Amino acid sequence: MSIITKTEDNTTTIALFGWLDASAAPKFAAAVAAVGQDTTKLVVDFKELEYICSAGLRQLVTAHKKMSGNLVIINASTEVREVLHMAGFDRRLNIA
Amino acid sequence: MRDSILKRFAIVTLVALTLAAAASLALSYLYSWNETLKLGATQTESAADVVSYNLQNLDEDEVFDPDSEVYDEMRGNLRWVCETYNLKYISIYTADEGLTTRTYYYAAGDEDEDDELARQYFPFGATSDTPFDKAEIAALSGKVLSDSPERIKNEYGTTYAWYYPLKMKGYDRYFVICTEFNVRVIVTSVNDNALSFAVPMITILMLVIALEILLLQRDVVRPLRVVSSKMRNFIQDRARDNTPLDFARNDEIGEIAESFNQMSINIENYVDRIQEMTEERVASTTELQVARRIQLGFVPETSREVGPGFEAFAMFRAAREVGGDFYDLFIREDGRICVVIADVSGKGVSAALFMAMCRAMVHEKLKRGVNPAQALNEVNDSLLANNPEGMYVTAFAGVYDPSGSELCFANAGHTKPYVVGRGFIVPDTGIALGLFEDAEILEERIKLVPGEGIMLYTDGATEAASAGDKLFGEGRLAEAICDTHDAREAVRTLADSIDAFAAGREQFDDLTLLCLFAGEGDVWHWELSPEIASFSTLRYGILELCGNTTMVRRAMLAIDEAFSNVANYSGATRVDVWAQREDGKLTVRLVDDGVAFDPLAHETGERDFEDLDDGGMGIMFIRETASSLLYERTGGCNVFSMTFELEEQ
Repeated sequence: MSIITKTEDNTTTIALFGWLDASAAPKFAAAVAAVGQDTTKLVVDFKELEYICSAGLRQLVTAHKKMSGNLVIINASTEVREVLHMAGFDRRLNIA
Repeated sequence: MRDSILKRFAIVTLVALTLAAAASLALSYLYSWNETLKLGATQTESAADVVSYNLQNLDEDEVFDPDSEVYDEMRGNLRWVCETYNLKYISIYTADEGLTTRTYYYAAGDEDEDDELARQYFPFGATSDTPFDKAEIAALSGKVLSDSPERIKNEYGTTYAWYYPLKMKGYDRYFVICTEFNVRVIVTSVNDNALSFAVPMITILMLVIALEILLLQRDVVRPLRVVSSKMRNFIQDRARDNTPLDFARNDEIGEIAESFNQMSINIENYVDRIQEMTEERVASTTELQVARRIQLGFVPETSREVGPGFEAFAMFRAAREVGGDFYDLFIREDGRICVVIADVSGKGVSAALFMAMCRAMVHEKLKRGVNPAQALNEVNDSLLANNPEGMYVTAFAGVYDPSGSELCFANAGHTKPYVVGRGFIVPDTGIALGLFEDAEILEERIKLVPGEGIMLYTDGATEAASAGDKLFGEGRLAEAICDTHDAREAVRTLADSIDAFAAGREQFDDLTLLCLFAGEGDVWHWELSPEIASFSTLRYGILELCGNTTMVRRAMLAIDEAFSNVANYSGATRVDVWAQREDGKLTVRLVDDGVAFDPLAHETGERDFEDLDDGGMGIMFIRETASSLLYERTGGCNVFSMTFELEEQ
């Protein structure tokens, strides 16, 4: 999995490519941790994400807490949305 | 109330006595009767002699003239004769030639009878035509039949008549002197005689019997009652009364008392002994039950292991509480399946102890990764080093690798295995363990194609005997299972078949069966280090095996979670993953040597969203995506199997 992080104004976008599995989760965690203090809004782009595991989901919770709720998930595929739904994340996260 | 011997004795005696009295009365009556009749004959004869003499000396003209003095004098004479000779009646008459009519000349009776009978009915010249008696006819022709008096019974009473002939001067024909003896005299005399004989006899008998009964009562019945009540007490509560019987007698009753005393001592000893034995038996049965539970703890009655590329099933049934057979079936840390079957010499507790030791040694060696041949050779050395009872064990041990479908095995004198779909295979026979140094058990290998299964058994199977003393044998074994398709089916079918064959016979030998079937389809195996980074290897492998589809990605959520658990929390030193794709299903089995952890037993329940960064979603994914799940702790390993549908329903 690869990750591209872009920051514009106070918005940081983390784009994920490929498989966010157990072995990739630490990478995502590092990316979330690297988001700066001045960022007020975090966008997670799942456009190229094929798979997300529970460890990846946990990092979304961590990010959500870190951003005090200012987290948006965009471009999630039907399959990834289904996993988010299974975990009940669609009720608490802002999924565009 | 019970019948008493006394009562029966009294009744029998009374009946016998009555019969005896009746018989003696009858006998004495008959005797007296005869004596009296003899007396009658003598008396009447004397009377007839006197009468005859008198008549013949009287004037012949006047003697038959009723108006003469001579006639009156003669009648008086006749009456005197009656009184003197106890005659009731005496008459003198003659009969006509044709013997139809009697003509009376004289008739006289005793005091009672004279007036009425003699004078009124038979005066001189009276006639009578009653039929003639044979003694009468004899007298008319001059003969005497004194032995047979005629019994005459009429309105005047009963008499016995004797007839005597009388010859008179001037007459050709005979006259008859009829003398009737007074029967009352006879009867009185007879009765007197009989009674005088019978009464004292009966009295004496009664006294004797009464005495006998009293003696019986004192000497037999009473002691017997004492013995009987003693026996009853003894049976009801032998502790209560244990004073011996003492009648101080030297007869049969004394003997009974002695025998009873001896018997009660013996019985008390026996009962004590039986009680002791029963207690011992109960104790040893209880201990055997405990031993049985312990044995079944490490050799369960049935056991099943299933995973990608194999299915194994085993059963064990001891002929007694504990057995000398054993099997071992477990999955090793590297995911290979270890199978052991063995039969210890002998049966019962000794065999069970020996078996427990052997099983532990083989198990420990196989678990450590020692190959089967070396394991058996080492066990042989250990047994020889310390085997005071000279026991031995035949064994077959194997390690199956599902990814290569290969069984690496070693045989130590055990029965030859049967391969379903192929037939009996003949491994090197080897030699039973515990007998000789340098057993030199060889290592051999066999590959199973999918659908083939190897059946291991003890001689309890082939040597099961039928009611007709036939042995089950290898032929029936092959016939029973040649068409089976999985290990459980094969073992159950074979056991049922043996049971049906041996129906009606007690199971003589322990019966142990172990079957391992190779699964259909490819089996993939990864030996991984237990760290998160290794997961990508597994992920690429699974994708290669099943393709990258939505369903596979769903399955991956569970595999991901299960692997992460092992990597993060188990403390395992290695993790083996086996995967098999078969019939649109993916089965993945993770085997790790970490601390025991059953993911299915750790439900997290609903958790707040904010806490989910600590985890808690994983088990939910596993449950949501897998179609079946199984966790086992076996051979010191966590074995977690998950099966997934690969096609969308």
